[in-house]
Amino acid sequence: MSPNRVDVVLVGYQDQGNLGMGYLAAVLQQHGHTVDMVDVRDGPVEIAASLSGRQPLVVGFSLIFQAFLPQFRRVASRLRGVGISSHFTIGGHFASLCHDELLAHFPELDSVVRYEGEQTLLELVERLKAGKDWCDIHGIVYSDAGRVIETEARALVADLDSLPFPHRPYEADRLGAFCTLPLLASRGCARRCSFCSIHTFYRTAPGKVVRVRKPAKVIEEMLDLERYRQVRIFLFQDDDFPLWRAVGRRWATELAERLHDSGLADRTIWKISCRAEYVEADLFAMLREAGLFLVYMGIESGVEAGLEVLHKQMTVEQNLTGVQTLKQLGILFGYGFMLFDPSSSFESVRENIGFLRRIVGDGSAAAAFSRMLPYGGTPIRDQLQKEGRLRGDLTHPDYVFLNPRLNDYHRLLSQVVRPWIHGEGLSYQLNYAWDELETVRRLVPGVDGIEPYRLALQSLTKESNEQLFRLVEESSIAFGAGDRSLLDAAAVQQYCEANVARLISLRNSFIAENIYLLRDASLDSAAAGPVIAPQVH
Amino acid sequence: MPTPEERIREVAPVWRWGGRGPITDSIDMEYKLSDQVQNQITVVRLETAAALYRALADGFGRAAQIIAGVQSGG
Repeated sequence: MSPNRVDVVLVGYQDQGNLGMGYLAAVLQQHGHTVDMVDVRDGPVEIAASLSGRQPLVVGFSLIFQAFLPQFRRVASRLRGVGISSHFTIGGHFASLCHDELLAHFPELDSVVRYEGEQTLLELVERLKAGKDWCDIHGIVYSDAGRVIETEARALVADLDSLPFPHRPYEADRLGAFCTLPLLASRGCARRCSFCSIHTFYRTAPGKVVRVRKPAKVIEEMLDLERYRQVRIFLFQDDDFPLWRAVGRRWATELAERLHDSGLADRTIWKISCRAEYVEADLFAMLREAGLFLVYMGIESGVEAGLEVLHKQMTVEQNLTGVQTLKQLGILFGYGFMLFDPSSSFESVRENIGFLRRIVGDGSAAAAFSRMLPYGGTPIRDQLQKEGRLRGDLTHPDYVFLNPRLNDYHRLLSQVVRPWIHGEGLSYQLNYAWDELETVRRLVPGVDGIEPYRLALQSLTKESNEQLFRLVEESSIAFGAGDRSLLDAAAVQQYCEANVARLISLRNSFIAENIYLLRDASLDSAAAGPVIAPQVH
Repeated sequence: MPTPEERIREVAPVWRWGGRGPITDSIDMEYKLSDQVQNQITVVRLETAAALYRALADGFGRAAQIIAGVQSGG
C-alpha cells in the first residue's frame, strides 16, 4: 500500500472556500477516515499526477454549477485513463436534481450522492472500506445495465450543530492584511424563486427545509477561526440569512448579544446575504453595531412583471425600501440583478435601468447586471421548455426572448460591457474599493482622509454607473431602429481602462497616506495566534 | 520621491491593490459560460490541429520509408 494512501479525495471548485466539501471532509475525518481536498482548477493532468498510485476508496466530485460539468468530466476521464479505479461519486444541487441526465453524460461515475451528502458519503466510504455492498444506501442513485436506480431519499440534516466545523485546509483569502473565510449559520431557503434550484434541492429531500444553528455554536466557530486562522472578516454564505419573522429577529438578537459578549463585535466584521424585505432599521442598526458591514441582496429585477416571472415574492417598493434603509444606516450593500429575464423586452430593460439608477445612481455601489440562466432543477427551466423557448444543452442552458431582436441586442451588449461588469471589470474593482474602504474604516482606528476618499470614490462610482446606464438606454433605443454604432466595444474598453487607472490612483494615495498605520494593523493581525487549527470538534 | 504605489510596496506590500477581493460575490455565470464555450472551442481546435499534424507526420514518415525502400531496393 502506498504510504500516502488516502481514503477519500474530494474534487471541487475552491473559490472563496468550498464549505460543502469542508463539511463532507470534516464528517469523514470525525469518523477516522482520511480526506484530501483538491481544486478542480488544478486541471486533469496535475490532479491525476497527484493521485497516481494512491487508489483512494472514493473520489467525490462536488459540482456546484452545471457549467463546470465538462471540467469535472475531463478530470474523471483522465483519472480513469491513468488507472485509478476508485469509486467515483458526485454531489451538489445539479447532481441531486438532474441525476438521470448526469449519469447519461458522465459514464465514469459509479454513483450520485443526492441532497446533503454528509451521512450518505460516510456510509458509502464505510461500506466500501468493509468490502460490503453499497447499492441500498439511502440517498444515492446509480446506473445498472443502463437502468437508473434511485434509493430511498435521505432526510436533510436535522440538527446542523451535530456537524463538526468544516475542514478548511487552504489558506484564507485576504483583503489587505485581513484574513477572511466563509461560514454558515443556516441551511435552506423558505422561498420558491423560479430561477433558483436551492429550494427544489431542499424541498425534494425529506426533512425541515430551513435549519438554523444555535448562535452559541456560530460564535464558537467564529472564535475558532479568529484564534487559529486570524480571521477578521467573516462571510456568511447562508442561502438566506435567518432574519425572517419574529423567530429570525430573536435569533439575530441573540447572535448580536453573543458577538458583543465574546468581544468579536469589537475585533471583527461580517457580511450576510438576505432578502431586502428583512432590512428593518432597528434590527440592522443592532447588527451593524455587532459587526455587520455588508449586505448582499438578490434584488434581481426592478420591474413588477420581472419579479413575478422570477417568483421573487417581493415588490419593487420593498427592494427600494431595503436599499434605502441600508444607506441610511451606513451599511454597504451589494446586489444580484438580472437585467434580462424571460419576460424581458426593450422597454423592460430600460425600466430596469431606471430602477438601478434609483438604487445606485448616487454612486453608493457600482452598477452590475446579468441575464437569468435556466439552471437544471428550476421551475423556470421547465416553463421555458413547455413554451418551446429552451435552448442550449445540459451544460450550457439557454433560452430565447419573446422578441427575437432582443436576443441579438443582448448578445452584442454583453460582449461590449464585458470590461465593465465582468470578472475584473470596472464595476467589480469599484466594489472591491468600497469593501476595502469599509474594512479599513471598521478595523483600523485612526485612519486619515476617510471622508475625502469616500466622497471621491462615490463620485467616480456615480459617474461610471451613469455612463453604463446611458449606454444601455441609448443603445437599446438605437438598436431598435437598426443602429448598432453605440455599442462600440473599443470605446467601452478604453473608458473602463481609464477609469480603473483613476480608481487605482485615488485608492493608492489614500492607502499610502496611512501605510504605517495599516502596516501595524497587519502586524497585529498576523500575531494573533498559531496557524494550524484543530480539525475535529 | 516614491509614488504612492511604490510606498505601499516598500512599507506593507500586503496592501497593494488587489482589484478583486474575496468579498465580492462571484456569481458571474453568464460570462463563465461563454468563457467555457470559448475554451471548449479552443480545445477542439487544438486537438484537431494536433490530429492533423500527427496524420501529416505519419504520412511524411511513411513516404520517407517508401522512398528509402525504393532506393535501397534499386
